[in-house]
Amino acid sequence: MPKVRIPVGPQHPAFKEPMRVDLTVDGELVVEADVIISYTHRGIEKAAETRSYVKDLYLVERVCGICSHSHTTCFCQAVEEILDIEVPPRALYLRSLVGELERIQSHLLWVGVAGHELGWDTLLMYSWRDRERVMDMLELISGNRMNYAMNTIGGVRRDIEEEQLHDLKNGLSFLKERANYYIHLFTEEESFLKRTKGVGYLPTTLAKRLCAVGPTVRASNVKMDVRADDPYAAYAELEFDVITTNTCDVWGRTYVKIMEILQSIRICNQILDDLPAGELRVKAPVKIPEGEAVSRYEAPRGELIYYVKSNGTDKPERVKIRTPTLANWLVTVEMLKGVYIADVPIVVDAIDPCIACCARMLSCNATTTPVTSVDLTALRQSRRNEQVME
Amino acid sequence: MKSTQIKTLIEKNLPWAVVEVSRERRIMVYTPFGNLLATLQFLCDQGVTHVSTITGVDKIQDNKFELLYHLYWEQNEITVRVEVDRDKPIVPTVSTLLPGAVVYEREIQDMFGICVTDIPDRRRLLLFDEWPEGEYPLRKDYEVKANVTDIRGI
Repeated sequence: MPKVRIPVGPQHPAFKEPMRVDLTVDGELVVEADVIISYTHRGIEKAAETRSYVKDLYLVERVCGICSHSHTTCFCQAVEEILDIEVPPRALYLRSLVGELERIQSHLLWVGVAGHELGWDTLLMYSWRDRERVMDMLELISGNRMNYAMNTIGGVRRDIEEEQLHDLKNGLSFLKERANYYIHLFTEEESFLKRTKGVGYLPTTLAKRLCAVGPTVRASNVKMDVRADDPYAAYAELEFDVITTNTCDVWGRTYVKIMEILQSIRICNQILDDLPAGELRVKAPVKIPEGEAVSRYEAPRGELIYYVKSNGTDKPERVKIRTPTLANWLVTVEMLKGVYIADVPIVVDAIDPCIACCARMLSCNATTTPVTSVDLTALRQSRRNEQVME
Repeated sequence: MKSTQIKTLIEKNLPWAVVEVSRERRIMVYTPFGNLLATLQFLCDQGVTHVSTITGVDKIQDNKFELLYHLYWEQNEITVRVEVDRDKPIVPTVSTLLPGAVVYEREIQDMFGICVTDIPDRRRLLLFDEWPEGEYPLRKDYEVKANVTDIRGI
């Protein structure tokens, strides 16, 4: 049978964001795969060079909607290292708290998406309902469901009160119960096991060689977690396990994520129990002296790395962002080889891809095809004018 | 392994490298351009497999590009830094030693127009196909042309 090439995407019901997977198939089996992500580049790194550090904080928060807190924490850490300022312990604990709640939120979102890709939409409904509870907790702390704006250079912006602790604890025990239910589901449910066991195989050596990160690499039995290896915020003082499995497949990636929810709950409980008293932030200058720093963070999807170089002004010389999804593309191509076409969506989604994160878009006037950005009000106005003219 | 131990290890074996420990777990290795591959080869022989990313910095005032190869090994972030001539921006590929680097090399090609020789995948990574040739957005002399003008052009 001749080999056939099938482009999946850039717009496809299986993918939530614009990406293209070019598959070469032999019958039902994928023999070759290629991932193309050049559809949503936003030029955030360039934009960051033209804005002040405080504005950049809000810009990097919008690199990713799901893991916005990861980006601001990572950026703040880098700038604080350049400034050589000591962040108060209470602020570090609150950063970790929001970071862990964000991880729970992101992993529950993924559980729903995975269920949806497998045609198991009941799971999507259940897990997203549970996710609402985490979002409520985040809203209770920060005032926002997404883009929490908790961080500022030198600390955090919001405190938690004594009476909030009770609500947060209740929320955590609810989530723990639900997480245990999902563990039961993912280890016992026959149809789920049949769809995920042995699918999208990624051997340990290959995962290491191709520099995979996060739950993807941990599911291939590599113990790599920035929180444990390179502790930031309050993680040096908190107890948690780095979850790994040796199954190296989609099931393993699911298992790692769901077990990490339990670990996150464990971390959150520790933080709520011994939240140190004290200041929330130290004052940071507007102008940052010349220097540079490399900052790492364990985002829900894996290792996030920022490199910030300052030049003595209030604007950075260079901000480099590498999001975890970008690091996981090479292994995705390897995972896709040898799977059935029907399994392609779940294999791609098992790395929890976030295209907007990894492509960071640029709006520009190219010489041949003009691409322009327009704000919504202007667009609405122009449409209205058109209708009037007609 | 402690950062100072790694510093001693590199200094002992690579006479050309200047090693700085900015803080625990952060190591900077300054390397002359010609010794880039030898430096990385040495680190890979020690067991480095993970390249976090490659950062490009446009040092337009010195007429140089700086490339920072962020490696991760034994709880330490090791950054190998080289300077490339801005008039002749050509670097060898490191994907023979670190296969995971190919993504970041493609990004460097897109954003800085630094040509990576012998790269296994020469295609664009982030910029779309219609992006004009010879325009590299992260260079300091690149002018951002975005503005809200042609509303009907969408």
